[in-house]
Amino acid sequence: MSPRHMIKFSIATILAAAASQAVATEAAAPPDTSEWACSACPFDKGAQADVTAGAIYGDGANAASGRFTGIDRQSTFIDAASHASYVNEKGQFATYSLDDLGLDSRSGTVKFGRYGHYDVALKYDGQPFRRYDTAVTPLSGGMSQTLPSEWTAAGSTLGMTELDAALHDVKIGTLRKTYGVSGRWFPHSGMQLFASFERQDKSGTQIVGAGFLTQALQLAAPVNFQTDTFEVGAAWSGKGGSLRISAADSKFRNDDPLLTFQNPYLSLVENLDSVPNGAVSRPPENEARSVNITGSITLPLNSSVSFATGFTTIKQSAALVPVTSQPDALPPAEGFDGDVRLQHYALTLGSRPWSRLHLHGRIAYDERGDYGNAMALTQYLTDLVAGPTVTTPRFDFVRVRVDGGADVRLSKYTSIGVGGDRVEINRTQQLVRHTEDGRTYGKVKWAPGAGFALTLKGGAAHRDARGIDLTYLPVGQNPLVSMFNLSNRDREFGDLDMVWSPNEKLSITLQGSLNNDKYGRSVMGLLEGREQRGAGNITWSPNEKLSLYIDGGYQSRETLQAGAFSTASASWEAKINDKFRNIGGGLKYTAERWEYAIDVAHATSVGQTSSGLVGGLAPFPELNARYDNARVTVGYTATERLGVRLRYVYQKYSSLDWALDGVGPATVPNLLAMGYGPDHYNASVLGLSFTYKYGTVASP
Amino acid sequence: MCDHQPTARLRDWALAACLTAFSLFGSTPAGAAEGAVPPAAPAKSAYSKTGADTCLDCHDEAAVAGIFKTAHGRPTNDAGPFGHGQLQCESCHGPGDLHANGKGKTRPHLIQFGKNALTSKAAQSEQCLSCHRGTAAHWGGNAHAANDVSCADCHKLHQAKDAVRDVATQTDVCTSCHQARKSDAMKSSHHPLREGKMACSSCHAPHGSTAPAQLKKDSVNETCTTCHAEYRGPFLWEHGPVAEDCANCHQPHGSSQPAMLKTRAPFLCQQCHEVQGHPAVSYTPDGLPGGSGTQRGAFLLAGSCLNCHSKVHGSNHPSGSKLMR
Repeated sequence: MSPRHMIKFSIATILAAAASQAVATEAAAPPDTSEWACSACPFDKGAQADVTAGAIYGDGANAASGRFTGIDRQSTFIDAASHASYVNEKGQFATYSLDDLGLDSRSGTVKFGRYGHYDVALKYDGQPFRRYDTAVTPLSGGMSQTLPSEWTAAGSTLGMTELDAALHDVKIGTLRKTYGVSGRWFPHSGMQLFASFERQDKSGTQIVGAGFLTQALQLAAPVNFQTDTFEVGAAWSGKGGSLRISAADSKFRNDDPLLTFQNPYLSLVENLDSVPNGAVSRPPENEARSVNITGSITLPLNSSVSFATGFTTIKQSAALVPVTSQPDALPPAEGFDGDVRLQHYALTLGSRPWSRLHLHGRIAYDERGDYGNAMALTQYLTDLVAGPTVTTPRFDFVRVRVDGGADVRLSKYTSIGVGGDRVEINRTQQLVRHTEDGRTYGKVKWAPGAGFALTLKGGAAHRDARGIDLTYLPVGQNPLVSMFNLSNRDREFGDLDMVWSPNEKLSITLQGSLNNDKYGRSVMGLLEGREQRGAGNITWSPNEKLSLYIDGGYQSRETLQAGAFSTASASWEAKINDKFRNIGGGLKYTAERWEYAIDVAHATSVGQTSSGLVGGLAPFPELNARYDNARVTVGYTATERLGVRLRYVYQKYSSLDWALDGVGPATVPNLLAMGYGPDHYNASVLGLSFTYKYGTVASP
Repeated sequence: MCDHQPTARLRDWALAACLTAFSLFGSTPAGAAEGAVPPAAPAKSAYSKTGADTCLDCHDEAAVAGIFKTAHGRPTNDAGPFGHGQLQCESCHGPGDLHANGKGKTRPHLIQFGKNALTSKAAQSEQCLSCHRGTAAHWGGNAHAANDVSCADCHKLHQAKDAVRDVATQTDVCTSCHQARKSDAMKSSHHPLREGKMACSSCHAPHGSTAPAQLKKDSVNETCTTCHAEYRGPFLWEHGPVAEDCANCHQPHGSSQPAMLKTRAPFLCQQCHEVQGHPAVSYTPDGLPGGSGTQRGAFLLAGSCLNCHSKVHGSNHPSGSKLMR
């Protein structure tokens, strides 16, 4: 279609849409509502509260089974919770909600204010992340870790004669505590001013690796991070559009910039002294400040345009640490004045100029400018030997994203749509300066009625990498390798989405997707990728008392990659095939005083890896994980105010992982490992609690 | 100077005229689906005489009255539908006089909400946006709107607790459509969604945004570093793909690999790093315990590449160019 045709088509469409609008905007005149009071409305007022008290017993629980809940050991925990709400005739209200008070995952919110005028919220949330409770290490101490005084360094773990006696347990995991306060004030309808402050405290230990050229060890590094975020802003909305302006400051603090440790090894290299200590940097303190402006404008013809702009500066001025862990070593400079500036500009369009047509589009520009000082720094190998001088890279990029699409209802039953997107990235200081990723798709939706709808979507994408700059080829890097995010790629994809809800009681959904990637111009690196997914759900609610569901999913991912030691063609390959399946089901049944809920889930993952010389791949042992979960909850309402709840959760997880199975502290001669294995548990959680309600019992 | 022949011009305008006519006579009013009601109530209906009192004469069931436990059902909230001088039920459901006084098949339905409603999805959402445009500035161009998802498909306004607004229950609402995400959350390495400690909206803006994948922040990295600020940098030694996009290596919805990685090390690292020396070496089962290549074990077992290169997100050590310090 020529531009002239397009203009005429547009004029026709606009005229049609305007006419349609004229029909649609024939609205009823609003009545005089000044005397409407609603005497029949059961408006909520008064106070009500509930208190829950009970006990939870975790049988066989460990760090893995209680990773996020805090039920992480065989023990009894307090089950306590309380909720309350109050509202008066002036619309002033107060609520609180406290849950899981006996666990590290406890959370609470307190909110008060006056509806339509202002509100203030306070919150706390504990988020445990238990990793391993089977890890061991011979090192002790926090940020300065030492070996036992009788330790004799050895060239390999096999020669560490004091190792067994020196090993002690160390728990790996963190607890994130989030505290927050926020407030909103509504000076008049459509306008609000808001402010919030949030502090995240993350403490515990995490595993950090450290190496001395060919010798390595795993350390339990203390975590003591704090992030404070403050945001303030104003928002307005009305029939003509909306506008939101906000400014935020986020400060990350870590008082421990360096973890030092005593070296358990003698040097493996003949005539080269080993160093007594090693050091690993920890995350530096940083601060991000941002200003964001977003808004929308309502246009005629059922259209709207929205925009967003964001400016962020991220600064890092932490003091640099000494160049080595030698006693007389000094930092190369005070700091490097890290300074990254981000910019974001975007415009979106949504339009339904005609009831059968929906148009949508977006253009976004993102820029990352790194203004930090580039420093030429001597690299010390194994904290001892001065090596080459390397200049710190500073990465900049500009990313432009354009996407859009149109959906047209062709008939009562059928809609079609087309669309696409394009992402262009221009980088500095990277091997590939420019990538362009274009994607187009088409879709058909067929909805013949009776609650049935089938949507098929398919398309193709192509990524083109240009501007290869060998200046940035890492020293020794094989020039034939194509980094997977910077290489040419052809992708074919398809999606299926089927929904059938013949009535309000039954719903059946089925989804599937397929992705096929070819890295056709890559000789080494990632060459092929293929993913297939499927998922489904059946929900049946034959009556108000009973509902049942079953669901499940399947995923298969296959990749092929190649590599070579020399710069000739690929000499070795690796094939990886990961499969994941899950199935689950459950029911809820409510009788007069009884409530029952049962959920079961089963998931398995299998990972097959084979690698080796081209044509002679050797298979690794299968990665295998199996998860079974059953949850039964029975609730009984003894009186209008007293309720009892019994819950039982069974969880079983077993896994085989060739990277961890059988890897003790001394299994690998040049790796002093922490000896933790893959997750395993066979845990049951039994809880009994009583809930008592105070105040006005809910009327609706 | 126009270079079109008269017949061509005639053809163009005839096409335009046909399109206009087709649009006018073939279309239903704006926002309405085939066979569905227009966004406002049937054309000539007036508002009721007494507002919600009229509605509650019939609709007094608990499923309706739950709204009086919510911000929408507060008489003192002047901006809400039950505030002083507002249209109460008809604020959202449209003028209801004909509906209230009609009988049998002549009773027109009001604006309906939800998955099985007769009102078109676009018209449903437009009702909500008439007040909530500020919280959904980017709704018009967003994927939910494009895929005919309305506000009421997720929000249950007549229930005392709207499940999608509760961190503990939101994931169930989202995964009723995004079913693959429910499977992802079952994988061994996942964010704590199924444990109820995070919700989809911790990262995503379901009402629309200008970021990829409708993220809350302007980019993937800004979203991730909201909680993982220790990886925000800028580091003395940066890792290019990390500075560009965390999702180059991670699958944030869940993975069977450690740390939500797309593929485990060393193979993930070797998809980019083929440097002379150990990165370019083929790691085979020989490196496993009991294998013949035990010296290679440190490159393959436990943390694999991360046994030494633990600072893959960036290093602030002066000797950290290899991300080891």
